[in-house]
Amino acid sequence: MNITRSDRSRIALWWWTIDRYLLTSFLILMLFGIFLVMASSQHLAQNLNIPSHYFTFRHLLFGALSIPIIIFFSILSQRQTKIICILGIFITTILLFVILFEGEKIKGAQRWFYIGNFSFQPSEIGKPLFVVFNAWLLSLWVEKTKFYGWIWSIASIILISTLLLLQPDLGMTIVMMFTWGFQLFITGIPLIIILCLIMAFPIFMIFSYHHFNHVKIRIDNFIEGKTYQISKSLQSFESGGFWGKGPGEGFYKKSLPDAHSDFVFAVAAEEYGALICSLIIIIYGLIIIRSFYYTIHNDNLFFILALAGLAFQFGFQSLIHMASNTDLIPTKGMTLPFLSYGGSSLLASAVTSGIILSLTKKNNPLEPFKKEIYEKL
Amino acid sequence: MKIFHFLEVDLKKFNHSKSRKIKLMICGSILVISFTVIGYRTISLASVNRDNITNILNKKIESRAFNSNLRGNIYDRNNKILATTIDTLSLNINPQEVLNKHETIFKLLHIFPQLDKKDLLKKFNSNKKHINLLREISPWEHVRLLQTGIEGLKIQKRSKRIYPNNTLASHILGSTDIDGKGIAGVENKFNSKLKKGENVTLSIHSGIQHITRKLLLDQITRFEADGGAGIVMDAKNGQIYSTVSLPDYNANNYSKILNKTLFNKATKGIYELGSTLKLITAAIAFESKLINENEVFDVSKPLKVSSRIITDFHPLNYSINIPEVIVHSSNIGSAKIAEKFGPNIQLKYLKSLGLTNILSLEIPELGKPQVLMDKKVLTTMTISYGHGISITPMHLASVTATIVNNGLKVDPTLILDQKSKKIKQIISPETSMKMKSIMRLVVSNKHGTAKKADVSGYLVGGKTGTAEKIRPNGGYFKKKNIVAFTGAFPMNDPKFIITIMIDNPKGQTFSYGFRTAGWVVAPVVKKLVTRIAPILDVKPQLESSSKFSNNLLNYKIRGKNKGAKL
Repeated sequence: MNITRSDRSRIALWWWTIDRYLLTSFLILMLFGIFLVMASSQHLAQNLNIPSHYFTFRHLLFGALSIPIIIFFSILSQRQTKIICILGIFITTILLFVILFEGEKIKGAQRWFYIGNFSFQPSEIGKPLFVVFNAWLLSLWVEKTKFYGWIWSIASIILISTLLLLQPDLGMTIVMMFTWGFQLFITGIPLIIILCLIMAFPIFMIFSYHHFNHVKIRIDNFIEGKTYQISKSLQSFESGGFWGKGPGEGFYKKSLPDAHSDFVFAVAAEEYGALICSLIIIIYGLIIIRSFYYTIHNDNLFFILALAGLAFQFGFQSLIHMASNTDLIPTKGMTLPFLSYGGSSLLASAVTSGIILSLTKKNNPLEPFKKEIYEKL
Repeated sequence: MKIFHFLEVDLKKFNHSKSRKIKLMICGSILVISFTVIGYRTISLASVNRDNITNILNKKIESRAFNSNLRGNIYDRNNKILATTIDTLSLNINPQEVLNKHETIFKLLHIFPQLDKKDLLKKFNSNKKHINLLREISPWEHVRLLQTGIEGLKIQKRSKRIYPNNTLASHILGSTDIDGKGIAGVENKFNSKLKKGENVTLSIHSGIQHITRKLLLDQITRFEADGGAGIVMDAKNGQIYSTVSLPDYNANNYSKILNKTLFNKATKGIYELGSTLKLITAAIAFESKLINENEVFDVSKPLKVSSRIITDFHPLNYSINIPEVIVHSSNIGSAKIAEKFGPNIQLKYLKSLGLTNILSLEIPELGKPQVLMDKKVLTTMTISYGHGISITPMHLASVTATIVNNGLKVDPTLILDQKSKKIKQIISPETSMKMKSIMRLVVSNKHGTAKKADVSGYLVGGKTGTAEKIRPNGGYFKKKNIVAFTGAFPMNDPKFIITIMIDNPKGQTFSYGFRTAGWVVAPVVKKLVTRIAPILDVKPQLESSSKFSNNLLNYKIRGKNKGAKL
């Protein structure tokens, strides 16, 4: 892009204030995602008797949609971000409530709204919004003596978790709760509460094990070490080797259920090899490291909690996806941000990255101007 | 708007700043370590790579099949192909890559109805990554497979050994295993040479091999015999033109054949070949100079030695000389001759003629002769007419060749280009001349046992033998015989040796119930010589010609009731 520093247009300002390393990383991941969806969804499309590039085109559509979203969120000021996220999380909570009665049931879970030809998963979008919302609550709690932010925080996570578990969506609940716990830990809470939370997790898992049949099956399978999905996934890694079989040459993707979403990392391993997989891991790692680097060099508590929370959530979700693909943890249907197929997932990743970019941008000269506008409101 | 008022963050109230940074660093590090673990796991999964190893192995096998030399051909003496290698396609499958097992099985069964559904299902459910379904598919089937489009199929080129002449010389050629390694016959003996892609040219003559087999098979069928062996060999250098063992098999089906059929009767089977060995007795008698040519032996009474009584098949009531012993095939006469030269001389000659050792023939299927060596008088006597000594028909051919080849040792060989070896003189040319004359008389004389082998103009000579077959657990079958003929033609200058053995012929009405060598084997020899002599470029000659009479000695042979006059 040929933009000089003297250029004072909005685009130029955006370009010069944005963290271009992070932006590049997100765009690279998006590009990988397009190739992987192209490779992994064709067989599914054939099985469903729809055009073989059906999912690819949809993914491209969402990709095209997510770029303005990234830009939109990255332009926002901290305050605008807060407002939008708080409003967003209220709307999401209402939607999550409505979905229990109105939503479409797919594979035993009630997570989706259908708008025409497109499905929409409110919990995905709510995920980054809640992080910002919680960061706001916790930062207020620390800074305002009379505001019992932690009570609000606990209340909201319980509400959201309950709504998610009713769908049921255990994976999302775990991601939300871990991020929430992480934010609470960073804020600084008594050690005893942290220990209680750590203790609570196994209790929660035991509860899930007995309560949700599919959780029980998956954990049992993991311990016994024999599932169809995992054996196919591991065969993908073997088959791909170090250099991979080449784009479109993957075979095990055909027999891997949900290859395009929950096992996209295995598809990447087979077609592009362990080398490219390592590169993907490094990109995720760099995003985390850079985000955490910002938080360490900033004293604004909301900034720290929001940015670290988003980065943690982003990294944690990727880790769960990769770990279940490589048989390190029981299979958990979790999408890989930017790489997996899924409109809501991609949009959520775009929102996350947009907010991260917005938080990490250098002091925006437009900020005072905007502030004035809001104060006039 | 008041709502935005408390959104403002007051940095001054900020505390715990330092501990928060440590916490952030710890959490960040945990995330990074987790990513590292995943990265390590990914690479280790990819490189602990059984699939790759099998791929490399498959590639190795393929490159061995393609790039390395194709196994060499085996040719007969006229450069006709006896064994060669062609490329075929084999059908393999990786069951892990089959998506819809039942659909795939359905498609496969459509193209290959010979496959078994249950068997296929079992194979598809296995954990292996490479399963062979069919060793060989035709190009047409290959095209149909490609058109049907079945995932997980692997069609590999593999080389296949074929024997275009099927049964021809199958015992000699042997076979290769599925990896192309020679496991029998010439394939085994010359494996290293053939493996390098070099060709092997045998001394076998396809045409003569075929004729020998056909005639022998006809006779075996006519006499309802169990089997037989036939050899045609160059009398000078021992090159084998044909060697047949019946029953035989199609060399292309080696792996599906019973052991019994695979057994090479000509080179591996050892038999008591009876009176044919009297030739050796006579040769030793002439050679040892202990017995005068005109010395006579009384054969009018059965000979009692120890507990055994030696009798003759055609008893004579007067004393006979050595030629008459051979022509009449007298056991008593033979025994009496042997008694004269004794066991030591006998064994010495048996040894120098190679009858105590395995032959040096170029196939692994060789039989070791069994000779009684107790040096008892009885043993010496029985060996003299072919009992107590078991040899292969190939041994007999070798001995016959040595006797008629002016006494120069002849070692049978299957290879055309033979390096010249040091030739040993076993018996003298004079003895050889006498033997040739006697052998001719066995066929030409009206009292000879092999009259039915005579072919006008080709001067066939030889010796018949009819022996009782040995029981596997000792003793003899009274009703089962081994009948044999060994001889050469033309006798004035022997060019080819013919040795034929037929196992357990049954008496037929057309043979008046006889199943002796004279009835069973001699006619084969006649037909064989008639047919192969022109091919082998042996010119027929008049027996009354001066050339012939100069060459062979003429002994007088007396008939059954001709009295004592010599």
